[in-house]
Amino acid sequence: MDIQSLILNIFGSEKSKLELEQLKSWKEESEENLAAYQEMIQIQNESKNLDTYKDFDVDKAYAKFTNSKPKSSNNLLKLAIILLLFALIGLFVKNKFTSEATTPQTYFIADSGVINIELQDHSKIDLNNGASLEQKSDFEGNERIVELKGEAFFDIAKDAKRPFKIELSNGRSIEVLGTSFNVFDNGENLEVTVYSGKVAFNTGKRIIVLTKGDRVSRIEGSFVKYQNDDENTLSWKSKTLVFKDAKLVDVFDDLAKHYNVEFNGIKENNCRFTSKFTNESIDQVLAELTKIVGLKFQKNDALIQVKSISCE
Amino acid sequence: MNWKTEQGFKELFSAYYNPLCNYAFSVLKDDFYAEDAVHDVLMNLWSKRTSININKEALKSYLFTSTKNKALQIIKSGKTKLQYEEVYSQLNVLNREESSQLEDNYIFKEALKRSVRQLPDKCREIYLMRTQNGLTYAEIAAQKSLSQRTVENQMAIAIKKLRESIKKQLNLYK
Repeated sequence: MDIQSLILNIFGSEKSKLELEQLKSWKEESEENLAAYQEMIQIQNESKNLDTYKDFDVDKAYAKFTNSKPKSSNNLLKLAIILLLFALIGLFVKNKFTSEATTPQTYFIADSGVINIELQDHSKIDLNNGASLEQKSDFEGNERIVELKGEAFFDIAKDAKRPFKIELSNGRSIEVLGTSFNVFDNGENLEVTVYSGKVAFNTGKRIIVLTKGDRVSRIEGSFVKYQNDDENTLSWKSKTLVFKDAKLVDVFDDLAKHYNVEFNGIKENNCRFTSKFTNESIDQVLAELTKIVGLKFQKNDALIQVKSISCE
Repeated sequence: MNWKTEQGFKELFSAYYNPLCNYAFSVLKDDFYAEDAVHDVLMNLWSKRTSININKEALKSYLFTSTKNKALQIIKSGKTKLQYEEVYSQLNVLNREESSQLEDNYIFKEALKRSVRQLPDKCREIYLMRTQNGLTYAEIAAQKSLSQRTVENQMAIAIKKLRESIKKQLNLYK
C-alpha cells in the first residue's frame, strides 16, 4: 500500500472492508508503521476541534513583558559605561577626589543572590534575589522615594522631616518615618510585615496603619491586617526556616518561596511538622520530610511531584 | 538555545505563551485572567533565571504546573466566580503521567495549529473541509469544481506537509 492511498484511507470518510483490512495489515507490519498511523490519527482527531484552541496575541504579550520586566543587564552595562566616563573625566582633571567622584547609584538589582544596600540617608535595605529597587528622588528634598519590585527588608533611618515612600505595583505604596519592615510584592501577591515602628500602607484606595507585629496581605481579593505568626517571613535573609507544629500546606508554601520550587499533587492531610533548617539545601529538607511525615516525591529540578504523605 | 539569555527567553515565550494560555483558560474560563496568570508565570521564571536550576525536559512541566498553581491562586483570591475547592479537586485527579499527556496535548495542538496555518491556501481549505466540516472527497470536489483526483492529491500533500512541520515545531520544546 503506497503512502498516498494510505493517507486517503485514514483520512477518508467511509472505509470499505477491504480498506480496513489493508490498513490493519499495514499497521502490523512494523513499529514504524504503527507510530506513523497513531500520529496521523492524532492529527485527524485534533483537527476536528482545532477551532476550540484559542489564539492569544503573543506579540502583544511579549511587548507587555519587555516593558514590565526589571531593567536588563544592558541598562546596567550602560550605567557602568556612564560611571566609567565619569571616572575618566575625573582622572583627566586630576581631581584628587577621583575615587569618590562617582554619582550615587540609583538603581539596584539583585540578579544573583540577596544584596545589601545602604542609601545616602543611611537607610539599610536587603533586596531578595530577583528584586529591584530604584531611587526616584535625590533624597535632598522633602521626600525620600524609592520604587520596589519583588521582596525587600527595609530598615529606614529616622528623619521626621522627610518621610520615606516606597512605590509598589498597581498604584500601591508605603509611607514611613523610621522603622523596619518586610515587603513582598510580585504584582499579584503583596505582603507587608512590620518589625518596628509604624507604617502607613496605601492600597491605592485606602490607608492601613501597621505597627510592630502586624502584617497586611491580600485575602479573597481585599487587604486584611492581622498579627503575623509566620516565623519564616525573613527566611530569605536569615537562611533559616523554622516550623513549629506547622500544617504541611504551610510548610510547602514556605519551602516553595524559600527555594524557588513548585510543588504539585499535594492532597489534603492533617499532618504537622516541627523542625529547624539553617543553610540547608532543598534536598536535605525533603529528606527530613521523608523521615518524619513519610513524604514520597519525585523531584525534577525545580518541580517536585508529591506522590504520597503518611503520618500517624 | 539557552532560555536564560534575552533571545532564548523570547523563543521560549513565543513557544509556550499560547499553549499555557489555553491551559489557563481551561481552568479559569476567562481570557483576561488566563493571560494574566501566564504573564505572571513567565515573568517569574525570567526573574528567577539566575537562581533556578531546571533542565529542558522538566521546564515544560514546571511551566504548566506554575500556570495551574497561579490560576488556582487567582480563583482563591475571589476574582472569578469559580469555587476554589471544586476546581482544586477537579485539577488534582490526574497522576504524573496523565498530567504530562495533557501538557503534551496542548503543545501538540499548538504545533498543529501553526502547521495548518502554514499550508498553502488551497491545500488548507480542502484539508479543513474534510477534517473540520466532515465533507467527503467527492463533496469537496463538487463544491470546489475540482476533480476528485485533485482533491485527493491536495489532501495527501496537506498530511505530508503537516507531519513534517509538526515534527519541526515539536522540536522547539525538546
